[in-house]
Amino acid sequence: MTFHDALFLILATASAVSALGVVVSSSIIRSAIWLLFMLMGVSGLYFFLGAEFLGAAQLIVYVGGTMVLVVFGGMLTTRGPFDHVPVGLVGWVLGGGLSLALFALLVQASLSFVSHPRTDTALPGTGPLGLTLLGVPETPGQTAYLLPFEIVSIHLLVVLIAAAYLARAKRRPTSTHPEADHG
Amino acid sequence: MPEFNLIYTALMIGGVIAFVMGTVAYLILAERKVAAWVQDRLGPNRVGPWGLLQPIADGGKMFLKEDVIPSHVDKVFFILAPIVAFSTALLSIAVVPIGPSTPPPAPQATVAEYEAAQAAYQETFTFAIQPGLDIGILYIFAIGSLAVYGVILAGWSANNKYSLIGSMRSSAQIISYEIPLGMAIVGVLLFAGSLNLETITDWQSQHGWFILFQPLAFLLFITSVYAETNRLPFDLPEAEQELVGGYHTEYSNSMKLGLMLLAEYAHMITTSFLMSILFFGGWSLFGLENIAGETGIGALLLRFGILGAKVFGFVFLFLLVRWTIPRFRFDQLIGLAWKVMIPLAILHLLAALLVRHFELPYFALTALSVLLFFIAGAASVRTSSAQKTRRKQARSATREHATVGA
Amino acid sequence: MTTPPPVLTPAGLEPAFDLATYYPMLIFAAVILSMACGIVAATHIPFLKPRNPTKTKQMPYESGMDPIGSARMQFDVKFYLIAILFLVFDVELLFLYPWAVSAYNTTGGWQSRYGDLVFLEILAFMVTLTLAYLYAWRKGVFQWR
Repeated sequence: MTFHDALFLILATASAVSALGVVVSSSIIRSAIWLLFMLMGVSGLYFFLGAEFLGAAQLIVYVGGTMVLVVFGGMLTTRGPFDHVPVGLVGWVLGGGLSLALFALLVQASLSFVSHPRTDTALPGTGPLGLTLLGVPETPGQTAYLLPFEIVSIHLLVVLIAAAYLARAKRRPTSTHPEADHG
Repeated sequence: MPEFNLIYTALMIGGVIAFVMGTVAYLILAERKVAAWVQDRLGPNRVGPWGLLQPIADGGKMFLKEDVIPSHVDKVFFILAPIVAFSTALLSIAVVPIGPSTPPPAPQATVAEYEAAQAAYQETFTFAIQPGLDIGILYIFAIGSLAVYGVILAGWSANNKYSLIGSMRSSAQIISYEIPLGMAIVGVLLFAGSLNLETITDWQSQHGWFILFQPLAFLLFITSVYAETNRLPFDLPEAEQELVGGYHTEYSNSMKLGLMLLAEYAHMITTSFLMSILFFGGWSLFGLENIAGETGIGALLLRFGILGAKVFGFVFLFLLVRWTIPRFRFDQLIGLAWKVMIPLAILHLLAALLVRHFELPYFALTALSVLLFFIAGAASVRTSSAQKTRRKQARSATREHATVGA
Repeated sequence: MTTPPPVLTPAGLEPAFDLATYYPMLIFAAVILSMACGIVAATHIPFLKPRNPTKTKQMPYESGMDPIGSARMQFDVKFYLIAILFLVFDVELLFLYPWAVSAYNTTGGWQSRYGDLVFLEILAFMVTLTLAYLYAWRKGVFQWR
């Protein structure tokens, strides 16, 4: 076993164990923290594959952004019935069966690749990535991602509009816990 | 940069950790001394001459004091939080060149040129733990976005109202100010063309410091940095008068609290380095860095000295600002980030884009920067005076109402 | 070891990915993590410090008062809103970085053909975002209360 294999094994095991932790823990905040470690492990795998920008983006967007959203969401509900979510036997059997089936499917799919993706050649760095995103083809005639780039900005617009609706909801005088207002 | 060499790396890591730890220890003393100086007191002066042994006494005390873990806390996360805070604060310094640096070679057109550039690069040395990382500053932001979890974990696990309020405030503040922080440097990237800190330094040593071309970006950056490090005037998460200790209220005076404080001060040092490197040209000083020759031990020491002077200047500014500017209110803090700094950052980015695309002289951007700053100032004065008159009207209206009622 | 073989990108020849370039960072991360864990473990050495837990010490600190109610309280939705806004602008920033790095600084002959297109594209991107921002402002998203 080379050093690379060992490193991969550590990262993969850490992610897998954290993923299990997400499922097993019954408190929402604990699940969220486990998910955080899982996403960090995945970002480590990206770095390991040489996709530096993607790894950093994963850390910034998912770990730094989405997970804060999840934790805030958990804290929003934390006094309600969702503080601890006990899972019954039926839930375990059903969920476990489904996820086992999915896992088997994924293993089968990954084993059916004829050749493994090569890791010794470069993935583009930040500069080339920017060019490809903006529609500059690597060689003339090749496809690039001009349209998706613009669609992203529309998508962000949509999210901001949704946020505007949330803000409107927030101004309605339905504050049930006036003492919880820590402005 | 030569090939990976365990001895160089070990020396660099040891040096950086020793430097950060030593600076942090004396920064705490310096903070108390500066506070005393500003308030016309003496400050710590019992342990050693001028209190110079105070940090050692403090550290020893933290190791020897009782470590209280209250029964109501979530033990795992309570212990995890200082680890997260400390390691994220220190990890981000890995890509920062703390001394003279050489940029990695640019992409080349032919194989021969490429090999020549690579061979030349092998001969140089950069004083950073991880030199030549392509995503440089993005790595710092990525690690910095993890820092919010030290705060969230500490606040949530402590199961204490002060802690929870402090951590919610702090995390909202940290994520709000991450946006202007990141947006302010897009203008820098547009000119320097790399996320790598060595390349940015090199660009500035050739063309001039970014503070000269983008003063507005620097203003946005330094403001965001003060908010990110939870320093006054943005220290609401641990506003002593209302929240006791904020998110570290429940940490007794043991090394766990010590780690949290270490992390805060280490963050200050890293950001001081970042400000010096991104906007003040790193080790360059308008050609003066070459007085002792381009290479050799003299030039090396001189460049270390120049960068060090800038960094400690910024650290001193941190300490002075703490005793100069009063604290913001929380709605003002959030409003400043979302209603002032982000629009300004977007406008600044547009200005930088126009200057860069139409190949205007760089100083055109300085003019635009200053113009934007004054427009923003005028707009804020107008809105605040309008608010004041509105408030006055409302007050007089209620008074009339009261007289009528009587 | 010789220099790694180059890879052709639109900007020119660049070094291929090599995990060995990350070794210093990996070592640094290991050192820092073990340091943090070591220091935290050191706070649990029993014979170095007194250990005398009392009932009052174990209580949540509320400035000397007996604690009232649980500390796990419900938070206002505006914190959640801030997180959503952060996410939007964060994603936008991540799209701007690769552009800012490459748009005016890479060599290679693409600028003459695509330079203006890229300029218009990023202008459209930023105008869309500015419109979204102005809409959100009008709707009072940035109003904290």
